[in-house]
Amino acid sequence: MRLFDFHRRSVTFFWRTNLAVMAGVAVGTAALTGALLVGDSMRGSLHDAAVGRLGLIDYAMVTPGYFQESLCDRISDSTEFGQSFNHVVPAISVQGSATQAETRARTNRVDVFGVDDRFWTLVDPAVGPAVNMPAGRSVLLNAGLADELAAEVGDTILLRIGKSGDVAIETLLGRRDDAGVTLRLEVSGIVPVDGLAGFALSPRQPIPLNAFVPLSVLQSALHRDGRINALLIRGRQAIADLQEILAAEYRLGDSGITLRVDNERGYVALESEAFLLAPPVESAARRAVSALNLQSTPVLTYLANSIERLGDDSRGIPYSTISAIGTGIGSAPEPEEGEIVLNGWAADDLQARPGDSVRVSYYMTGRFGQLETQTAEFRVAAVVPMAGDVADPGFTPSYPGITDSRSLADWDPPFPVDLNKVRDQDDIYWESYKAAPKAFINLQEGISLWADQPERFGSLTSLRIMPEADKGLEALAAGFEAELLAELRVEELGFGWQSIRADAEAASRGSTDFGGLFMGFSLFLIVSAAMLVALLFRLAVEHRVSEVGILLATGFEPKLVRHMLVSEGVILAGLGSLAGLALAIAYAWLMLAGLRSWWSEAVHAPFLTLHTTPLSFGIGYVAGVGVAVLSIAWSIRGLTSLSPRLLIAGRATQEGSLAPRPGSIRSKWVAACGFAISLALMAATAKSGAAARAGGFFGGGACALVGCLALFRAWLNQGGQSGAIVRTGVSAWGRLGMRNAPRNIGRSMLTTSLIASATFVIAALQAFRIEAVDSAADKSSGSGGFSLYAESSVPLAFDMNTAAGRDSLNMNSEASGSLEAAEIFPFRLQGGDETSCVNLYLKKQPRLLGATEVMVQRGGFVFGATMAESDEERANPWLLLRRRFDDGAYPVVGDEAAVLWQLHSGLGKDITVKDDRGNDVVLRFVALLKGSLFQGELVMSEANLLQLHPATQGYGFFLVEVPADQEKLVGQLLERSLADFGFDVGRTSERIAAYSAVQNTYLSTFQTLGGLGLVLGTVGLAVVLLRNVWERRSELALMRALGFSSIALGWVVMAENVLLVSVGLACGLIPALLAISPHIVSTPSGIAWMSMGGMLLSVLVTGVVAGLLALLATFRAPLLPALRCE
Amino acid sequence: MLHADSISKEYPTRSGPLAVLRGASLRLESGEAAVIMGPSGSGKSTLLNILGTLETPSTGKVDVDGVDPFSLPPKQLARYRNAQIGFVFQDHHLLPQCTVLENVLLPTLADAASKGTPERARHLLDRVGLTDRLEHRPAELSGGERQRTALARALINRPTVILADEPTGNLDQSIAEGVAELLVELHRDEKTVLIVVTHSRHLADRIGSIHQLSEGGLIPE
Repeated sequence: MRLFDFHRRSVTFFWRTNLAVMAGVAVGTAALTGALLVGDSMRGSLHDAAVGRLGLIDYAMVTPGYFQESLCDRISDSTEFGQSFNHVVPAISVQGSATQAETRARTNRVDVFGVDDRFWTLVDPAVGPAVNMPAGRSVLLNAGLADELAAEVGDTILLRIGKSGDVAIETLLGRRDDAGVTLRLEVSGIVPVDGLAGFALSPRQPIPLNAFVPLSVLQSALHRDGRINALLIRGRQAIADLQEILAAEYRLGDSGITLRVDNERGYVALESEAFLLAPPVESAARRAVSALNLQSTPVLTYLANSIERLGDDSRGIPYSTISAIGTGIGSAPEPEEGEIVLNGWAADDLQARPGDSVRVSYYMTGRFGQLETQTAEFRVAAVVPMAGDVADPGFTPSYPGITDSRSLADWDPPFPVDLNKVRDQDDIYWESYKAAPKAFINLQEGISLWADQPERFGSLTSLRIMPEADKGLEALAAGFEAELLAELRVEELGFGWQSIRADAEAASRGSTDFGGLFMGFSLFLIVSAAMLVALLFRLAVEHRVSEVGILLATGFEPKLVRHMLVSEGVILAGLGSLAGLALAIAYAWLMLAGLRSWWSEAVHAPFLTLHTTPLSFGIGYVAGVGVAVLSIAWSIRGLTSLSPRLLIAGRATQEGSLAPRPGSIRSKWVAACGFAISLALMAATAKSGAAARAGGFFGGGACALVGCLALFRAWLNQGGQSGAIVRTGVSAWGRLGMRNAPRNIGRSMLTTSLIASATFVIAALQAFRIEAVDSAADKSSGSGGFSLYAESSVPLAFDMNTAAGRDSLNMNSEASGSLEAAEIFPFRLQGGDETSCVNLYLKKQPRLLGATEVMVQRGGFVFGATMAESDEERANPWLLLRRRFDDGAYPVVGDEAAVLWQLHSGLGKDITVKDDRGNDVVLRFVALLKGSLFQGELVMSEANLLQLHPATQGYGFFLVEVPADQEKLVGQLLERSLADFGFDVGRTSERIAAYSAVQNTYLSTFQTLGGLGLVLGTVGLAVVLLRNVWERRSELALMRALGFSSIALGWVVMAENVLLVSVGLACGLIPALLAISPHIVSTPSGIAWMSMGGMLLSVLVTGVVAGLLALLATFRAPLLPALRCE
Repeated sequence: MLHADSISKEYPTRSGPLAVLRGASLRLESGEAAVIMGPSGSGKSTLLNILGTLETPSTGKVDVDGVDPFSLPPKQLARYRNAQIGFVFQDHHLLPQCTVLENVLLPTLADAASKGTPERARHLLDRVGLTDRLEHRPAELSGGERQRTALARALINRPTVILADEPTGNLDQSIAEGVAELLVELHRDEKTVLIVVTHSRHLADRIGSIHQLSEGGLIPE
């Protein structure tokens, strides 16, 4: 016989007890592996959702402005593209809101795509259905949007979409009052959200609400015929190859840049449809000029409301253009600062001569594009006759509505013009010279006066390239264009590809390791299962303890005997864990079902489905076996060191010895240390912040738990209940029963510890529950004193705090009046990945808010940590957003929970993001908010945000400070009045509560799984009691023979049971109450007393039921055989 | 040769040490047998367990073929016990999951250098009349057969000493006779030192010198 045969025989012979052990192992492995499968499922589901929605699309490019649709064809036709990529599809992607025309059901945050049939060739047939794009004024809705609107095929839908013009809305010539357009379309089809109909450029959990409009219809509505803002690519080659193809096929016209050749005056002008040359274009142009060694003249042309000659008989000219130039003009040299050169017409009209003073008044745009009239005075340096360059209307780039007007009366400017001031001679000038400037000033002075935020919008309206002697203008233009294209980094103009498939796959890894998280949640279940395995195995071994004695008596080394027992344990663990793998699938399925329903507030991911990987099964199996074997090895510790005589006699403990056990003193020391550390921890953190206090008290409670259990062990070591049993009746029976507890201290401690720790964990976790407190009025709270927050689909460029701004937004007098009571703080909004725990995807490019200087000055909110150094910064940490770092990092403020757990960063640490130009920029956390409404985004200063994202237009996020009694009214009025902007208003307290709900739901998950552990604990208790009764059956039979009644025996059996359960509950509950005492004091209503009480009651009931089962077994035991045993 | 010199054993209790053995001595050469008798609680089994190294004496010395087993480290003590001692208990303590043959071979699993072989196990089982029961489980045997199996198990490693604690205590008269006969025969054949603890005068008379354990000491009859 070999040892293996021995193990095989033992495993099969004692199959009943071994089956119980294997069941315990299976439960532990199931919890362990199941947790890993939850992680797999989370990643797999996120991956499926994100990647499935991409269809066959691998790369996408969405530019801040519109570009020529022909770029799509150029790319498609290029040889390099054909070699490596399959399809390139043009599209327009804009945000908007949708309204069902009949029911008026409205939803914001709609993604509107202008596409044609080419888009639907990218459908992955394995995921989504084939779709035909309808023609005409119709729209395809995805099922998500159709459900939101309760829309059906044939219904009419109103789509309100943002309409970004070429000229930035915050500049003088930006059309702020024309920010959106409404399309009335008929629903021609509803497409399931799986697959391409759920297309989203970046992965997100909520089902995208998509509307697909025929490309030509959308182009027409946006007045962007032949223009698009997105390209979608199918192909798996490197993104660098694609970027090279793009750079090669890019033309200046794609960014609205033109090279105008003026053959009459002999120059080439670099101009932009955006009126101002974007800074990257200007820089590249200057480099190109330098590289080609050309002569150039930079020009900034601006509109003056009036040019007045100062003096006794002052005279003025209304509405004139003035150019700031970097060279001489006509016969006049380049003007110095403070000088102005008038053209002949203007000088005649003003009757001005060199040396006279003139005042120029002009509009400048302030916050929200508010116009402010400013003036500047100049000395007339020269008067140049109306000939040649002087009379060149080309100094003013084309601006539809002005430069193409036939007369001044036809002007359609985005700013107010008093046509009454226009004189006949002004019209005559316009007819003759159009927008030719009437005056010229120094370039640098012009830039300092008129270039608003030059680093964002640019500082030149044109750059004039002068011809070389031996080259024609056409050749000059061609050569310059080639050089300019070579110098331009198209990424800086927003022409950069996103690897949306690779990004989606990367983001699907998630910011939270759900495998680890659920492992933590299941920890108590795993530990309970391990303890149960230890208990069951120990009982199984004790059942055949005489075998151990025989083995030792026949010369087996204790080590070999232990090895033999553990080897059996390994076999059981191996088999049990195999069964556990099957159970793990069920466990994971159940967890996912929970996450889709009961715990849906934690993840907001209804699309979760079961995914499994061999690796998780492998890890789960090995870990399950490992934990079980360790438990088994632990369970038999000390067994082989017992006297073989004792073991042969069937005794697995030193039970019966009348000597006090040495462990008593040690246990008392452990208890004393536990209580001392507990008090120290609580005292140290009593006055700390909420999180530190909760942690300190939880730790202190845990130490107190150890102390309580050690005290109980010391009591058991001393023999437990030692009072004399002198009287008869219940008291005596109870004492008799309680004397049984110390007979097998290991068993008693195991069950008590299991119940105590489960009770402690479940009850003490209440400390970490976040209760929604309506503290909107408190400036120093998570809401910062703001009751409402809002977001608009179409950015707003008007100040809602002023009557003028509200008028511009077409608010009626009622709404305007009501808003007087509110103060609205706007934020710039740069879309990106929501950073809160509600978004499960990996956050690569966080959503950014730009706080205005007014907001920074106002301050408010609660900060958990800051880099404040001065008293001023400590008083208002928002001031840290102004900080400049030598290494170029940008200061940002984030919510502590999001920064720590979602972005895995911290105070003073950096994250890297991309700016609008495709550059990596570093954001540094200068302050962390606590429990704030800003968990979904990072906040930086408005100036910094605009520097990083100059294309950001208007304001998209708002906080509203409003008295509580006006809150509802203001919210309704804002939503109603600004419906066209897709304005969504919510209560800040609800937003914070939604974030809190995530943590609270996770706690509930943990408590539920902890409860399952408790069930296992009580199973263990039942097993122990039954075992005790079986072992003492002869004693109990003897007592019956001696005339003990059933009730008396019941008391004896139940006394031990009640003692263990009660001590377990007390040892768990008292430390738990200590742990949550700060919470009880601060928010007594915040404790879920009912659920805690219910849980404790269920423990008690289960414990009592276990006792009753044992009792039943006692009564059923036949009297005589048991007595014979004795 | 087995020499037990002035063996005493005390157990701690709440009211002070409880002395069970007080200077018990015994000397036996190979092939000799001794019977220890005495009233219940006199310490017979305790003495036997000390001789079998299952318990350590409080004072006194045991010498088996010149070796003091209690001076051995635990690992060597286990080897010593495996090689030198054969136990026969009142309860046979056969492993229910193993066959008769496997039970006899059980001690050979403890040490790779064991002298026991399947052939010897079969031979011993033949000697105890269980040739046709080799593959049976203990539950399928009678009380006498189980004890005979235990006897074969005790002898598998050719021990120097056989210690039998009430070997026929659980058997009826006729079966006990057979087991006793076998015990004596095997002891004689194997030339072991045999020490038997029993209450049975009949068994004692068949084995050899009788020692009474009284007040913790051994008194030869």
